[in-house]
Amino acid sequence: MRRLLASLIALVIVTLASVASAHQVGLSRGTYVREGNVVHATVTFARGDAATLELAKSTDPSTLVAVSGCTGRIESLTPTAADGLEMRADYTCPSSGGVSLDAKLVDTLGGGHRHLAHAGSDYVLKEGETRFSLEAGPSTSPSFTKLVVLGVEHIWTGWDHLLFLFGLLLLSPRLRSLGLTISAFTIAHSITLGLAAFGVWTPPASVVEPAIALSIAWVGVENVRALVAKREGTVAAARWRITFPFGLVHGFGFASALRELGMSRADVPRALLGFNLGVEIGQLAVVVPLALGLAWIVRSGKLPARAISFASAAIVAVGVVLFVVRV
Amino acid sequence: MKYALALSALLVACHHDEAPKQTETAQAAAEIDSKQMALAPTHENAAVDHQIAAAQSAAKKNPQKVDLWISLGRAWVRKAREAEDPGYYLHADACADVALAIAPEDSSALDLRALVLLNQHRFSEAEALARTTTQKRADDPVAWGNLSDALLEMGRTQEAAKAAQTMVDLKPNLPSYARAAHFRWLAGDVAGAKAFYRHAIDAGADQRDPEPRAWVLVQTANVFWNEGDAEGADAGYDMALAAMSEYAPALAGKARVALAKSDARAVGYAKRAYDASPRAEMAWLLGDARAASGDADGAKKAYELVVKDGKRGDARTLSIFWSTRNEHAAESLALAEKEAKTRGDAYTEDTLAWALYRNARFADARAASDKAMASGTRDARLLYHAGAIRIAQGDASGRDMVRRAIALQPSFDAVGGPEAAKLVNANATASR
Repeated sequence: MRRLLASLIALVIVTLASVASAHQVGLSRGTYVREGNVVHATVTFARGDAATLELAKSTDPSTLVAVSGCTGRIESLTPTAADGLEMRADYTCPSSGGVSLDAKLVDTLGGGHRHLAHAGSDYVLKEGETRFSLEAGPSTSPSFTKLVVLGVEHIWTGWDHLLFLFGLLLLSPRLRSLGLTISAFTIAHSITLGLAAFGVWTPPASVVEPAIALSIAWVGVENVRALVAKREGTVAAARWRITFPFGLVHGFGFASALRELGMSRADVPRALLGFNLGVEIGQLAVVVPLALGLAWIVRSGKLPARAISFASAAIVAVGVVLFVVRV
Repeated sequence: MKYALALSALLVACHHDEAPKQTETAQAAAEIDSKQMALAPTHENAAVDHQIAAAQSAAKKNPQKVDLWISLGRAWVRKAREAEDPGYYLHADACADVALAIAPEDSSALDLRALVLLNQHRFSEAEALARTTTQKRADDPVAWGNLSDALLEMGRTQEAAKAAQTMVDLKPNLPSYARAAHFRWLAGDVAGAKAFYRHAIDAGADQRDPEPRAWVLVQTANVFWNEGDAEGADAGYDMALAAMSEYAPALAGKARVALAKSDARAVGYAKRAYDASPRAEMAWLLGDARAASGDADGAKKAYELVVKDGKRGDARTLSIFWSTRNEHAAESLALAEKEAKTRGDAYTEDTLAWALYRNARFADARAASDKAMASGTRDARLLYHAGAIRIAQGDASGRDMVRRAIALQPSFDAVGGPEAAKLVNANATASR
C-alpha cells in the first residue's frame, strides 16, 4: 500500500512538473489541527516546489513538516486552483498532549520562503525560524451513529447522485435489472470510497466533479436513445455494465464528505463502514419508494412515454450544464 | 434534445448567482493571510525592525488608512534590502494587498506591488503594472523607476533609459541618479557613470534609511574595480561599510579586492558576506577565497552551497558558475536558456553566451554575446567571454578583446582571469 501511495505521489509530481512555473520566492500555508493523539496537517505550496521538496521519494511528510515524537503519513496530494498542491497528512503521536512542529520545507526551499502556519495561534515562519507549537485539542472523532447520519445526509443532499439514480430508475422498472444496476453502483462506489478514505488515491475534484456530471448526462442520453429505438428492456438489463464505472467515479465524490471530517488513519475503517452504511440507507430510502411509485404509475398506464423522454432530456440538460460549470 | 438545450441555457443563467459566494470566501481568507503577513513580527532589533513595529502599530490602530499600509510596505522593502532576504518582499506584497483591498486604484499601492513583482522576476507583469500607473499618473517617479527596471531586465535598454530619464526629470534624487549612472556604465561611459553616482551619493544622506546610500557606494566602488582601480574600489567599499556595517555587497567587494591582492583576509570578508547574505553569489566568492588560501575542503563545501542555493532560486548565477568552471555544460545551458526566457539584460545574455560556448555552439554564443556587448559595457568578464567566443570562431579581433579584458581587470574572477591570460598566450604562440 505504501509503495502504491509513493508511486501515485510520484505520478502526480511527474505529471505536474511540466506545468510548474519557474522557481520564485514562495509562500506556503499550513493548517494544523490536534485530534486526540493525531495531528492533521493540510499544507498548500506551489507546484513548482514539489521537485525541490523531493516529495516523490517518500510517503513520509516529516521532510516537509516534522511533528516531534510522532509518525507521519501523507494521506493525499491534490492539485489545487492557482498552480498549487495540497498535501494532507496525519501524524500519530504517543499521547494527546501538545506537540512541537518543525516546518522543514522552509529551510529546504530557502531563498526567502515563508510559511503561514495556522495552529491555534498563527505563525509566519522563515529560514532558521521554522519551529512552532500546537496545543492539545478536544477530541472531535464522531460517533458511529453520527457517521451513519452523515452518510444519509450526504446522499440526500447530494442531488447530483440522486439525479443519476433517478435516471437509472426511469428505464429500469423491472426488479431484477434494477437490483443488478443498483448493486453494481453500490459495489463500485464502495471501492473508490475506500481507496480515497485510506488515502491510496484521490483524483482531483476538478476531474471527479465533471465526470459525475457526464455520468448524469450519459444516463439521460441512454434513456432517450433506448426510448427512441424502443429497446428499453434490453438497455436496462445491460445497464449494470456502465453503472459500475460510473459508480467508481461517484465513490470519489462521496469521499470528499468523509475527508472533510479529517479522520485519523486509525478511525478510517470505522468511519468508512458507518458512512457507507449511511449512504446505502439513504440510497435505498430514495430508490425503493421511487421505484415502487414508478412501477405503479407505469402499470396503471398513467405515465406516457413522452413524459419519460422529457424527464430524460431534462437529465441530459442538467448533466451538460453541471459539466460546463464544473470544468 | 430540444428540451435539453433549453434547460441547459436556463440552468447556466441561474448558476451565475452562486459563483460570487465562493470567491468572497476565498477573498476573505486571502485578506486574513495578507494581514497576518503584513503584521508579522521580525524578531530582530535593527533600526528598520523598530520602523516596522511602529508602522504595524499605526496600521493596526487605523486599518482603513491606505497610507499606513503603504508606509508599512515600504518598511518591509527596506528590511528586504538590508537583510538581502527576498522573502521580506512577500510581507511588502501583503501590505499592497491590504491597501489595494481598501483602494484598488491607489498608485502608491500599485507602485509597491510593481516593486515586489520586479523582485520576484515577474518582469512583464511589473512592466504592465508600471505602465498602467504612469498612464494614470504621469508625474509618479516611482512608477517610472519600476518601468525602467522592468524594461532593462527584459533587455529593452533604450526604452528603459527613456523611462529612467523621465524619472530623473520628475525627481532628481538618489534612486533616479543611481539609475542614470547605471545606464551610463552599461553604455561604456565610465566618467558619466561616476559623475551620476556622485550626485546619487550626495542626495542619499537619510540616516533613518542608510541602505540605499550604502548600495550606491558599492555600485560606485564596482565601477572603480571594473576599471582595475582596486585601491579606489576598496575605499568605496569601506565607505559603504561605514554607512552600514556588515553590508554584504560591500564585504563581498572587499573580499574580491583582497583576493586579487592574495591577501589572506579575503576568506574572512567572504565568510562575513555569506553570513550576512547566504546566496549563491556569495558562496561562490567564499569558495574562491578558500581555494586561494589552500583550503580545498572548505572551498568544496562553499561550491556545494552555490549549487544548492542556485537550484533553490538563482539559476543565472548557477549557470555562469558552472560555465565558468566548465562543469555541467548541458545543465548550465538549460538554466541559461530558461533564464533568458524572462530576462534579456546584458548579464543574462552573457550567461547564455558562455553556456553556449561551453557547449561548442559558437555561432549561437556569438549572437548572444553580441547582444550582451551591444551597448559597449566595460566589464572585463563580458569582454573576455566575447573575445574567447570570437577566437573560437577564428575571428582575430577576439584576441584584442581578451587583452582589453585583462588590461581592465585581470582578477575579474578566479578561474576566468588565468584562463584569459592562457588563451591570449596560446593564441599569440599559434599566430607566431
